[in-house]
Amino acid sequence: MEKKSRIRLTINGKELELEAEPNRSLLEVLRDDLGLTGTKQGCDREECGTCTVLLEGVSALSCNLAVGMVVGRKVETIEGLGQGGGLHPLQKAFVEKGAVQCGFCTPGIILETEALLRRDPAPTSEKITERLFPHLCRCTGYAKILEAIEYGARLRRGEPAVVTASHQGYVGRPRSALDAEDKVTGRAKFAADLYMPDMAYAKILRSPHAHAIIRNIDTSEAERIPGVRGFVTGRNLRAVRLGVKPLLRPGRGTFQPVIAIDRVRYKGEPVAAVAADTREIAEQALAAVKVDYEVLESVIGVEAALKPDAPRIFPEGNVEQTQTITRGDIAKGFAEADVVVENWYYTPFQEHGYIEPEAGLAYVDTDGRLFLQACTQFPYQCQQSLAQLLGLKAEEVRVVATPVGGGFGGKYVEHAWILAALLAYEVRSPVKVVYTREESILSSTKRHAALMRFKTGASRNGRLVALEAELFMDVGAYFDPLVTRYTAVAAQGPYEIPNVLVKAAQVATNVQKSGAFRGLGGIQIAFAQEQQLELIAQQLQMDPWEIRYLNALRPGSVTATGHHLEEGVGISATLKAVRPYYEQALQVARAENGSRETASTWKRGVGLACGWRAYGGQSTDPTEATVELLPDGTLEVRSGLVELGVGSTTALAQMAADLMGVRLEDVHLIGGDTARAPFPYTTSGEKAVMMIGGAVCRALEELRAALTSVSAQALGCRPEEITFKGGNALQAGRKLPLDRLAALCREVGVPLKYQGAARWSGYRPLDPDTGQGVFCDLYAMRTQVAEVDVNTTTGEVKVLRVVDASDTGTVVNPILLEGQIHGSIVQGLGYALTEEFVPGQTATLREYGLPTVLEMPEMVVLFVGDKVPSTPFGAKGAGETAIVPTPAAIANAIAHATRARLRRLPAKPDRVLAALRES
Amino acid sequence: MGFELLQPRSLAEALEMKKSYGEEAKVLAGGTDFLVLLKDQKLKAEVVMSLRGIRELNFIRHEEGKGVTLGALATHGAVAASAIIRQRFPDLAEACAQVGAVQVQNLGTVGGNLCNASPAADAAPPLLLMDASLILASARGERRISIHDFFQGPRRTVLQADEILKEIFIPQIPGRRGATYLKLGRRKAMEIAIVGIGVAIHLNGSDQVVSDCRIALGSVAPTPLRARHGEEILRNQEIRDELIEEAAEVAAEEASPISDVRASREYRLDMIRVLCRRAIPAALASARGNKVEGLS
Ligand SMILES: Cc1cc2nc3c(=O)[nH]c(=O)nc-3n(C[C@H](O)[C@H](O)[C@H](O)COP(=O)(O)OP(=O)(O)OC[C@H]3O[C@@H](n4cnc5c(N)ncnc54)[C@H](O)[C@@H]3O)c2cc1C
Ligand code: FES
Ligand code: FES
Repeated sequence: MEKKSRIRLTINGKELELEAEPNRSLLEVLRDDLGLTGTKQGCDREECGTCTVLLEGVSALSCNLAVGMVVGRKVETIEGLGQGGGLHPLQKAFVEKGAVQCGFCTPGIILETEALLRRDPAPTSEKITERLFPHLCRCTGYAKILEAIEYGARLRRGEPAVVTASHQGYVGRPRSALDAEDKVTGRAKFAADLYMPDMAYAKILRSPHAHAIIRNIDTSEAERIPGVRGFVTGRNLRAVRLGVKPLLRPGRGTFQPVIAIDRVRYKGEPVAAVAADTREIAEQALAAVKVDYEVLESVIGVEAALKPDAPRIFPEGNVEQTQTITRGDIAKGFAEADVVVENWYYTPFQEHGYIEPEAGLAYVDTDGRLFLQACTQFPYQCQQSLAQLLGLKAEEVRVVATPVGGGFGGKYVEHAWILAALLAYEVRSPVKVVYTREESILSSTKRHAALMRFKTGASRNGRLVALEAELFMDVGAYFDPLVTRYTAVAAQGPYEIPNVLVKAAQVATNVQKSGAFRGLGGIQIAFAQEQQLELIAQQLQMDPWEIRYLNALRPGSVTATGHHLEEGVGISATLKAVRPYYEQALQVARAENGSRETASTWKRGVGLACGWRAYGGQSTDPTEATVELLPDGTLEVRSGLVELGVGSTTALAQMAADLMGVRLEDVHLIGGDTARAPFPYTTSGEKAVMMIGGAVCRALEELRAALTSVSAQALGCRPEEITFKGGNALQAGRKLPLDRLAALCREVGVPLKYQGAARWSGYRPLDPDTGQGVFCDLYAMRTQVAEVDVNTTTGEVKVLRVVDASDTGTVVNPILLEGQIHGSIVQGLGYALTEEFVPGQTATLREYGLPTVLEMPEMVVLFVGDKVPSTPFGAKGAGETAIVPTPAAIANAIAHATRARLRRLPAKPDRVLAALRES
Repeated sequence: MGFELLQPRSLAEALEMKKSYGEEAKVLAGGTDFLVLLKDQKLKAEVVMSLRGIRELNFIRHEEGKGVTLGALATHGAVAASAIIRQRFPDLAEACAQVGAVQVQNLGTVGGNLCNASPAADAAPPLLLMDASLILASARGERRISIHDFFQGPRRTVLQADEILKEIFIPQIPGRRGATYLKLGRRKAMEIAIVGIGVAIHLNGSDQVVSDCRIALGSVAPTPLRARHGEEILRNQEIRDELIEEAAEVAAEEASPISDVRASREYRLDMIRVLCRRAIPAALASARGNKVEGLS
């Protein structure tokens, strides 16, 4: 380690002199030494752009600059923009245009744009994309970012802002996200941005083997290294001493230990975790740990795991049949079919690719309570896990969710922060953990890879009569059957099929665990089922749109699980909505292919796909929320909602503001804190808004009733005459401000705090053998059209446009929902074309292949469908499931262009070319 | 990442430092590969010597009748923007303009690209086409070697422990030269080439007969290489589609690609053929469009 030297720098206009080792990265010095945490670390290897700063006015990646090399130079960070009052025009534009979702990529992108605009105040859109493409954003699909940049450039040139007229009410109106300002300024504190005095750093030693027995772990030498504070291993775990099974996610039917005990089952599995004074010491300590492994044969990939002689990961075998659904008579169905199509399909592991790596900070507070702050989507479950692992009461553990820098289902109860918390409890000092990007990719959960056999039969007129599907879901190294239920339920697609036999099995393999991911189970199914439909249509010489419309579920339809559908069955409406786009695209494709020389290697194609996914609870447990009218007339709403960057909190606030007739600014949301807000059934995204929104609405109705009666008394009128608007109770031109009303209530002893609960009422667990039951109350449904160009000599595919129509019910916030849909479509596009996590090979973002702005297609977003009677405001939400049909639509478009059928994702050029040769 | 940082101000100072530290001091130019190599432990460095402060290495110099010299600190961005390079060595300009993103081009050097010795280095195929030579300097003196002798394998070059790459020299090329560099990545950008191909066509007098044809391949063997047998097929010939086809086939036979996460071996072989079919006519057209003889 090099000695410190005095380093002089100008940062955000201030001259500074600091003591630092000149070889440390500028990024680390900015964050650790100067507290400028608006500059983010997404990869630390020049692949994401989040660490961008301005160096002498030019954009530079601070992860790749030794601080010694920038001595005497001028550095600007996000904290330096818009200094001296108000937001910088770009910051303002990002907020207004809904370009900020999780916000982790935002500071880097704003600085990059600022560097560009200083030299070229009115850049062309090509210039903008050229600068933007090294910046990865996993949330927005880039469309709103581009819009914001163009708008921001105009503002920056002094052109007037576009003022939108003020509206009555909030629901149904575009509103920028409530937390967007904090994110564009770099003020928002993500988990990695938290520091404490005397804080230790945690690092995790991971198995280099995919499958091995741990004979011994020796930390004795490592423990003697000065600066090492303590270790957690499978041997010294408190839970083990307490006689508790130390599972990572207890109570979910999984076997996954929080840290390997006597065996490792995937490469990257945690074996030991250390807390030390610095990251370097922590790493030295890990290097000094001796682990004695007995390497076992491993099995990777579903195909391999299914072989009878495959090495066993669990004594009971690698395959467990967990969900069957039967309806009608499958043999009779196929006997009646005029066409039968049967194929195998494969979809790979997908990395969530959130730009914020896993991070958390834990300590034991003065009351002896364990306090964890982490970027978790589900603080309540973390609390439960920790309480169980440490033998504590739930109240003795407090978990607070920090802003989540992209979750998509991948940040629940994760090793990173659970181990940091266990270490903090063990060593009794604050412990911080931040994953490196490589660690995150290696060890985080992935979308389940799936191997699927589909046999589909239809009658001559195009009616689907039978479906037999065998689904093998790669759950990774530990069983968890949830996904098999989702996929089994989804298998029929949003179509009526009288005779169905679906068998879903979970398959264990020696790779990281699979887990929740947007569109769980639905996306794999759509890839298979939507291509099956296309093949049937081809054989029957039917129009792909017609066959879908003919078979689409309708109100009154019964699903394969016996669920009688009544509300929220908008699949036909979404088909109708895309129809004009579809026809036009077909015309354009014909014209294009006709006008291109026959020798042209590019062919245009158009593909259609529908998608659906179970939506709503798999439990009838209630979700609770409380509301309180505060003395100043503002509203406090406490719920379990965690802001994942998808605008859920904004939507919730909009609903609450409308119900109580107050300004959005006057709704204070408290959530994501196990000590301050009630337990939610789930906080995963929009579905949570439905339920938590329901609970909030109930509570508000009670509050309203109470306020109505008190104000009616005060104003001497009948309760029916009272309305709430503009922060007042109103009656025939007379008004009573809410702060006065609050005081009145206190005088007469009427409570101001109310609790509400909501539940998905319809849930009836599926019978594991017949699949009969009600898996969820609602299904998200949508249709997409994709237009692609395929190069027939290189196999390259360009997606030009995606049109998405979703059955959304009432749209609470169009701008945020649209942004989410964009993001989901581009995630689906990545899964279709480039993204594939190959165990043992994929190590970095660049190797993995997240879509950049250059892959972004034009996107058209259409909202259709009726209000859903049973949800708050009739909203259904449909942002996250936009990912479901995208790969299928693209695959169908490729086939339309070239006749090449892809049965395996992603459609990498070599696979497309191979499929072309087969066709 | 603990290392000591040396920041020499002149070439002489740098060479002295390299002399005393030898293998121990690793050279850093733009640093776009360097720090990542350190992180991945593909490179171990106790001492890092940054060349960035050495102004005398940052130049692109054209000497009429002799050739063009690139200093070790000439970046991809500077090379891609240089008028002389764009005019006379469009293949090199095209290659540099396709390295990573603008941000990487503004930092990364052509010299670093070569010294890094990745099979996929985009600047290598064009420089192979040009028979460029490299000036390697040490406190002992300088030596000039052909680029054809520089690469020894992935990440391996003939650079000695006390040497640094000082300059890249591109000699004058007689006749009318047309050239292009085509790169196939999995995504449109930010992507290391799956296959990179440079083709140069030289015309001498006639527009029909090719006096020389050169083909260089990247990402399809342990080092970037010239497809000499493929070249033979076209040399001193009148170009016809069948010959292009044959040259493409033969060039593919000269490669020995591997399968990896990004593409299979078969696909890479296919793409050599596809890109040759595209690049040869493009280079020919560019040579024909080049009306002035004996440039450079
Ligand atoms: C995001 C990203 C995208 C990229 N995309 C591409 C791409 O598309 N195509 C491509 O070809 N490359 C790509 N690269 C790799 C890299 O940018 C280039 O190889 C670059 O040209 C390296 O130059 P540098 O000056 O940054 O070298 P450095 O990183 O400073 O050094 C690279 C190596 O060369 C040695 N070295 C450098 N200069 C000298 C010298 N004068 N004498 C002796 N040894 C020396 C160093 O010791 C080191 O081993 C990419 C990199 C990143 C980060
Ligand atoms: S590019 Fe620097 S942290 Fe990702
Ligand atoms: S908003 Fe861009 S990564 Fe989340």
